[in-house]
Amino acid sequence: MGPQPARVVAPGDSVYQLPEKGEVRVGSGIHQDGQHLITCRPGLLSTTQSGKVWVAGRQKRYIPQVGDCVLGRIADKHSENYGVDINTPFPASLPVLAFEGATRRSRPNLQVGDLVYARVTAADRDVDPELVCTDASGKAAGFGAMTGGQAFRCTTSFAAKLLSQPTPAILTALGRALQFELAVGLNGHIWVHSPKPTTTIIVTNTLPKGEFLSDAQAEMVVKRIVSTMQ
Amino acid sequence: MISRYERLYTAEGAKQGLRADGRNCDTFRPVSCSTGVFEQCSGSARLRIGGTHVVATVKVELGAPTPATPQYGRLSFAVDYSPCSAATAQGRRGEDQSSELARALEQSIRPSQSGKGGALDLQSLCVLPGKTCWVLHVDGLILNADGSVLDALSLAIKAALGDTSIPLASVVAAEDPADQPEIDIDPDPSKYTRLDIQRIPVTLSIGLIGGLPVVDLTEHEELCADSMLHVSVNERGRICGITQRATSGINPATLQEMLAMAQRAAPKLLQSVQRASSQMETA
Repeated sequence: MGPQPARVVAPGDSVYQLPEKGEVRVGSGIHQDGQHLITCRPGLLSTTQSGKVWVAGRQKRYIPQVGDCVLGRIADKHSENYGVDINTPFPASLPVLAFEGATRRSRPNLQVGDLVYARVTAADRDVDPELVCTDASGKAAGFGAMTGGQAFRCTTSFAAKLLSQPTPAILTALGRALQFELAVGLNGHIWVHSPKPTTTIIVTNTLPKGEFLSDAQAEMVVKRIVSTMQ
Repeated sequence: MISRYERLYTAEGAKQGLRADGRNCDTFRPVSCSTGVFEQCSGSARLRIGGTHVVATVKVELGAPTPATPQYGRLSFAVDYSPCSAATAQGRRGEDQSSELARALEQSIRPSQSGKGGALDLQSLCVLPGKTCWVLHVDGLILNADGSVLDALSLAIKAALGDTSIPLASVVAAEDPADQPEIDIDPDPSKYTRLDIQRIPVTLSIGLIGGLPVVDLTEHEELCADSMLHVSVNERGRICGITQRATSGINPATLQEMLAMAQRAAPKLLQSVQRASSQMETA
């Protein structure tokens, strides 16, 4: 199955017939019906060379998948774990020991409402999703509680676009002009922090505008905004 | 829900006169309003302030006046939160919030017990004293809540009342004097009358963030506010009512500042509603 240009699909479209041999990795928005792959939501059908197929849609509700990096908000505090709202149908759980260097004696002290950047380690339709705040080798690697800054929401597809390569023009242009920290969660939450509040405000208001801008337009928008600021 | 850092950020921002969406402390989000949006109602309006989206409708029907005010028409208010308008709007909590809003709106418009005062001339709604009057059912629906819900509802209700037309009702004496007189409703739309909405106030919510007064709070900013003041201001800039919500007290000097802020902001907001109504008439 070779790569094809992205095409618009509607739920119920039969998009592929499974090949005789080889491997197809089926992502979200597609399910298998015998020898056929059928879409179950509208969007752009996306494929990669390595045989991954999925439907990218402008979805606001996030459906967790193992390995996704998400930005969550602590909703409950329990003795062994935190309940985290990551915009999923059910709250995720984050064990208190799933932080770098956390032991029974020294555990992170997070409060309800705090933001955490975490990785999804378990996602199943019948069980609540599980998160950890370390990379695979147990290092913090940027995960953990977000201190300072401001969070806002976007669509999950835009979040995925911000994390994909090549980096969208709006983000590179903003990064060139301003100094700020950014954490993008695939669940459609974005956190921005910078030494100057004006920078944070500019980033939180400009970044979502970049969703439908071409590279040249994005450059221009950022140039104009930054010039009015100085 | 909100993290302590975001609360701090918002409070520090307010002190510098900066807000998350780039506004000043006394700037409103863009207001858009359209009237006459529903065919089935006597008057209706749809209003947006930023992400907050509300609909107000007025239904006029004949009914009996209350025994205490036989010479006056009647008003009834109801507010509904759409369950998907905000996370807090579901279930019992949403019901409490909506009845609180309905009461606040009713208080800003309804006359006193005797029927005098108030923002609407209810005497003009009387058809047959003690027997029949017009009843105005005012309903508000919150489709999306992103802060300043009361502000949006009060503006939308004013616009909907301005859009309301009341048919001409005349009392015809029955042939036998012992019988009840009959009420004749003229179906001719050219004889419909309009309500006088001049005196209906708009309610502005002013929050205290980091000790500073801020108008038109978003949902996020409402979570950061120490205190909220709802000020009803009429077209002349006069204050008609004040209510306070949330825990923290307000310093008298700040209170004066907040009231002045409401008085300055009200005329601009009312203009946006008037513009919508006049556009509908010319169209």
